[in-house]
Amino acid sequence: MLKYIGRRTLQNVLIFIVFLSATFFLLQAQPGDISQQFLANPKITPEVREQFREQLGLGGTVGEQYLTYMGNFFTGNLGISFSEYPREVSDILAERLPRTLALFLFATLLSFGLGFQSGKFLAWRRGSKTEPVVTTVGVFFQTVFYPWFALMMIWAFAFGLGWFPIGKFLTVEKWLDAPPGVEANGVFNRMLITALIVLVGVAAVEVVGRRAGDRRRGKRITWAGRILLVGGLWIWWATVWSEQAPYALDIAWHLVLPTVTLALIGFGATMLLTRASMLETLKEDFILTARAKGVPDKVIRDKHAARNALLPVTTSLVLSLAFLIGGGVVTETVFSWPGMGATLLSAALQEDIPLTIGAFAFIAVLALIAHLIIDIVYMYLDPRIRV
Amino acid sequence: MNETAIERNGGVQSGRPILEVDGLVMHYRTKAGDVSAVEEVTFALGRGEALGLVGESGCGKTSVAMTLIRLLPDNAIIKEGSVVLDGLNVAELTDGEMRKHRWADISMVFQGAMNAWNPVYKVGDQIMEALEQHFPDMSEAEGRVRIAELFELVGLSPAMMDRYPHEFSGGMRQRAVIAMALSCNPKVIIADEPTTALDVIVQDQILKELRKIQEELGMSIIYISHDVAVIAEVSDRIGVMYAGRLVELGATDEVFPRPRHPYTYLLLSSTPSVVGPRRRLAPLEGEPPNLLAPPTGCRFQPRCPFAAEICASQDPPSQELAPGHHVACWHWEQVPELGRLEA
Ligand SMILES: Nc1ncnc2c1ncn2[C@@H]1O[C@H](COP(=O)(O)OP(=O)(O)OP(=O)(O)O)[C@@H](O)[C@H]1O
Ligand SMILES: [Mg+2]
Repeated sequence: MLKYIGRRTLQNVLIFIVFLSATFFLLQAQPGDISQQFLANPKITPEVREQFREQLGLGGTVGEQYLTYMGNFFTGNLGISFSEYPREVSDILAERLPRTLALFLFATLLSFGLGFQSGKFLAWRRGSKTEPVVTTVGVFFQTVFYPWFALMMIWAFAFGLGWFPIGKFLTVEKWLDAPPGVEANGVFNRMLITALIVLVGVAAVEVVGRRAGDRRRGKRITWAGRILLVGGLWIWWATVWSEQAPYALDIAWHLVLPTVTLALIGFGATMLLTRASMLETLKEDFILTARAKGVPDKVIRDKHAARNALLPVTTSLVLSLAFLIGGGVVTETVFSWPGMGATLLSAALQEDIPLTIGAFAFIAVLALIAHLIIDIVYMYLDPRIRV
Repeated sequence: MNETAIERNGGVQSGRPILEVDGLVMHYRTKAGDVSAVEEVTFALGRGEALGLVGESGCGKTSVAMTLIRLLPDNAIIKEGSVVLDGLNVAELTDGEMRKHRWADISMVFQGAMNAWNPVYKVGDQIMEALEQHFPDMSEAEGRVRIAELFELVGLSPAMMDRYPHEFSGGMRQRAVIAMALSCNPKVIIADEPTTALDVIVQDQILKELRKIQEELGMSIIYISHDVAVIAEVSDRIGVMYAGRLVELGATDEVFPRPRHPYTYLLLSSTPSVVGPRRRLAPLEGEPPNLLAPPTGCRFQPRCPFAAEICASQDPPSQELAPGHHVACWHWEQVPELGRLEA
């Protein structure tokens, strides 16, 4: 198992190197010298440009430039952003990466959970009156023109109903008199860490519960673990981080609408795929065996059918990553959510090459890591490929 | 009803039979019309008895089995008849009530049981699921002891219970399926083509073991197969099905040497000798009828070498030729001894 993960990680690193090289040669194909951008910005003096040329090795041959580029990248030296001069690219990315991570993570979990559950019931209650309605809704989400849909969501829920803010990361007025220890990135990182602890913790407790040997004891362990985990974090926020809590809520409130919007585009496809996969699984012989054993319908649905239907749906997550990233760029832009996607788009439009490369590369890293995690999860779900 | 059922038990066992099927009619509703898959089937299964059901593909063997254990698809309807399992009419139970009796009273080894395992759970856990269902008071440790015993009984190493189905070979999977079918001490086991997917040697081994276990545990079993040789080896009595009907029923050592129904006769003639002396092989020509529109009169009549006028117009009633030997044919006297028919 560890060997498998190691091999997959190595593969991903190689893919990443190929990706970086491709990016480099694409840029080479562009006319002009990238150090000659932003000529109108008075802060970027000719000395800065010269220093920049030096750092990028622009004087050398293509081969030398390539080596400098790769070397810079792997030493974490991503250069300086022109559009946000004089900030370091790595500094900008460190700020925005968590924001994108949160958006993608929550949206994926939400769309997967929602899509899987509804697809499951749809297949189970096949032929019910709600089926055509729900299926139509699924097809709508699967095919809708996404930027338009995102705008409609803002129009309906932020502009019309006023339930959520119209885009942005936080409410500026609220933060003006924030106490000294409270700073947006710090608060947000704390939120993200909390969410990750909950996720990993819940999964870990589940595994421990399963390995407990006795089923009933396992269930108790699982529940106790969940309650301890959530309760503990709750108390931690109520005491140690109590100063940050209201500000965290403000950010969370801004996060809801973009997350839901991004989740909804993935939802339709997941639901329809789950339905199809579940209908296939229900035809399997082992479903008949389970029925013959006298297992109740609900257990057959969840433990036997849905559990197997989950496998192809998980695989499809890998394929939907590309759509998710595209959707993420649009979501961040439409909702002015300052994450990697919005950064990438604005940097590219302003021809801020260092920032574009940096954002591009880190989105790729995110995608590769997501891919790796899905692989590992799949391996856990399907004993046939566990090694 | 019970009287006749006991009578037809062929006197192999005394006492009330464990399973009595009387006048069972089951149809599948389809867009093209009703498929008459089980038509007027009557038989009884004695305690500790092994009954074999044979017939060509599509003649309704699985349909009978599924009706007995009440695992029919939604489009199936039991039109008439009763299925009495140890005094309880299974055909009248609700699904919820039936669930308690499945596996605990009547279990089944399915056709294509190779795929009977859910690929994502350990084999032992899947047997445990049945135990948990029917013996809620049994602890996990007791359950494991029980599964280990079952594995030993069917010739598997108990350590295999913590393995996944894909780690089992076909024969091992089949043995494990049998262990699972035995797990709740059912009164009746239905084995629907339990070994067709296996090679002949493994098939033979498993059949012999299954027969031994069944005799040791005193269970009743219904073997289903299209293979006459298999049925001959394992059953005390044999029922021959054709196009949804039970055309001949009798003790194996009576029916095999001297079949009375033309279909049984042709079925045996087309198979190399199972019991008794060597004989000429005669092919069984034609196809079983489409059950959407079965032939009038006797269903075998279009393929029958002895068919006469009456066969096409009237359905032959089941007659008892000797105690426990039933045949539904107008011309059973004309059926010659095996190997005597001129091609
Ligand atoms: N769900 C169904 N809907 C409609 N017709 C069906 C259905 N299941 C089976 N049948 C039909 O019922 C008839 C009997 O089928 P059954 O499976 O009982 O035969 P079998 O004797 O078990 O055959 P085999 O040896 O191939 O397993 C066949 O004509 C089949 O086409
Ligand atoms: Mg069958």
